[in-house]
Amino acid sequence: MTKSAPPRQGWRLFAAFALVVFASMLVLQEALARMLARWLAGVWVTTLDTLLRIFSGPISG
Amino acid sequence: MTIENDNDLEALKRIGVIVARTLAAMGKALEPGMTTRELDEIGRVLLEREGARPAPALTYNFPGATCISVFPDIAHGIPGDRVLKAGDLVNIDVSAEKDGYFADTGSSFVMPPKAPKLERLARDGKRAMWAGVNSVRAGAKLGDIGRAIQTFADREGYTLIRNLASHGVGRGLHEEPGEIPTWHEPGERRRIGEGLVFTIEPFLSMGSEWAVEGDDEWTLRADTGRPTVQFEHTLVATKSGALVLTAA
Repeated sequence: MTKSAPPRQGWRLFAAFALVVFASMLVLQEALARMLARWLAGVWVTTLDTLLRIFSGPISG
Repeated sequence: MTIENDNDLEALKRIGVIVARTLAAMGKALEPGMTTRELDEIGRVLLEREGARPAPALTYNFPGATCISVFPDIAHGIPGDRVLKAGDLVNIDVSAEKDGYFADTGSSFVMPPKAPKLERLARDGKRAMWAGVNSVRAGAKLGDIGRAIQTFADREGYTLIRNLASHGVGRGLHEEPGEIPTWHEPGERRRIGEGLVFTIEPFLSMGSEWAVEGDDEWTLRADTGRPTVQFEHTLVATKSGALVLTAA
């Protein structure tokens, strides 16, 4: 009596897993870049604001 | 199972001869007009006379002593009211247990008058099985069996059913090492241990590659409906090759 064999699709599963990991890395990289850009932009604005406060004189009215 | 002593081997030889003789007798009894139930009854009586119990019923509550599949069915056919006709392609699979040991064998038969293409397919189905049997050696890879059968099938222009596998047998009908592919499977790197007991049962087809469910919960058909045959032996792996247990 023969035995039903489940299809062996190991390489397909591995390829799918690798694809998911790669896509996740891309998404994560983009998210990290956005976060860094936002942080840098925040730092820049804060720095500029501080410098302007230090070096700017009172505005004559 | 893996044979551990002479008692194991002798017990397996005994049940191997019983299933082989039962299969041969059922093959000889084939004639137009009989039902598959009547054919199964012949098998049941022969097994019981030898003190053996039909393995499919014992293991899976299969509704029959043997599996009888009339094309387009290719495996696990339930014996019933189907009347055999001249020219039918019939597969009989006999597996049984005696004294706690199991053996499994099977063969496809073409009923006269034989269509030349079916006769050739049946002849080559047997050759495909022997290509697999002859590749067996303790220490070799299990994957060598499927590769040898696939090489034969490719050369002769056939396909192989790729979801019906050979299997370990001995203390149970289906046991370790589980499914053994009878087609080329590059990932099959397991080694054949000395004394390992298993079947070799390729399904050689004129175009089908997949078995699908038939009309009931047991019966299997070929996906494309192309003629398909199966031949099966139970064997033991030794350093010098395969020791076939189910030769009549």
